[in-house]
Amino acid sequence: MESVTSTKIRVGHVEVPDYWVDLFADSSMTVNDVITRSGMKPRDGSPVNCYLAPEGALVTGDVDPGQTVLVGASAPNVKVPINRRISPREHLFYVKWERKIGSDGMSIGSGFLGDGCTLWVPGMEGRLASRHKRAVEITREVNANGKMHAQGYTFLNSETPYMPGDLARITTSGEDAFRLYDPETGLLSIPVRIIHEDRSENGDRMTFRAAKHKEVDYGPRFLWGIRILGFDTERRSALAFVEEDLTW
Amino acid sequence: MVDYLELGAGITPDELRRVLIQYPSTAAVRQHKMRNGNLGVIQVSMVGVKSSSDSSQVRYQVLIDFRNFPSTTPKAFIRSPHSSEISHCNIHKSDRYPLAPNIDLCAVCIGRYADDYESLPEARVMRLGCYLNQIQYILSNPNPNSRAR
Repeated sequence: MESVTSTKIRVGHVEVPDYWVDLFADSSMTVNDVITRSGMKPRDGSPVNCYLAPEGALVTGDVDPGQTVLVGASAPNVKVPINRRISPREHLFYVKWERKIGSDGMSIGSGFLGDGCTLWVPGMEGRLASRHKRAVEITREVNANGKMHAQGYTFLNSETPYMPGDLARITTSGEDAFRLYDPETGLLSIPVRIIHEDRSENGDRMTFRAAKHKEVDYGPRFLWGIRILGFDTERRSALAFVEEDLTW
Repeated sequence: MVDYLELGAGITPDELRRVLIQYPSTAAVRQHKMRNGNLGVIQVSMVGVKSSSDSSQVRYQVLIDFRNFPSTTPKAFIRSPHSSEISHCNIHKSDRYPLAPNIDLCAVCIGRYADDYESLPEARVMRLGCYLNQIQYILSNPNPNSRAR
């Protein structure tokens, strides 16, 4: 029977979440070789290291075939899963499909990005499919079959990128936790405050506390689906509640 | 797929991250952040040589004007070392430019590369990479046949 030992070293970059290079190697390689052969050796003389993924440990010896490493000047943030690191990327894409989720008129739209990845964005039923939407991709994962899927959300390309009722997603750990994409800065720079008290008439808005309680029962979620309640254009901050059907 | 002009003039934060792989000391010039959220000017540290007859290494701080990128060739200027300390024959003597009117900058002579740049495929990342490679090449390989000083 043929052995299934890996003959490649996967090399990523701390600063560029979706950039991967596969080095074919049938034996161990030195850190210097990995950095040079992956094309990630800085040309300005800056020192960089190799960090083992997903632990983030500094590699001081050799790198073995089958290992995944990250090159960078500083250690990666290990709180964020290696394949779900944040790199907000703006897209104008065509929403090809839409499917209903939950019972509140919500749906998830999806369509292809130019590189073959499928981007998934939440929205209101009937308002996504067959339209071009401006959206931001915040995480990307590769399935076992090699298919790429990205999660993101739509925004308006104006001074007020989010309106009450809009659906979006936020991460709950890492540097950009609880922040929305700001098209003015190109970064996840809009702080989001999740309501602490539900003052709605029918009491169906999930508060921060309720979401944390649900995480205890159903497990923590790296991405929370949220619905915008208000956007402050001067402070560039948002108020939102957690959308249960979009999170669990 | 987002068209190559769809992301607007200037370089996007995502494109800047790509630059950071090879030039980790790169920084965006805040004053030139564009209304579309893109970055108009960045400062890159590049290691080149002193002159065509002296291959000792010199660290050049290069300001690159990407405000009309990707459709028009970007422009590169040396911010440091000072003009009087530069012996590289493809770097012009200092002057003042609208990019930074209060600072002496030395333009980098790219010869006929603008023609090559404009014939590159309409792919943003490729154009960005090729342009940076060209500046790096000029700083590392002075061409005495195309003197700027």
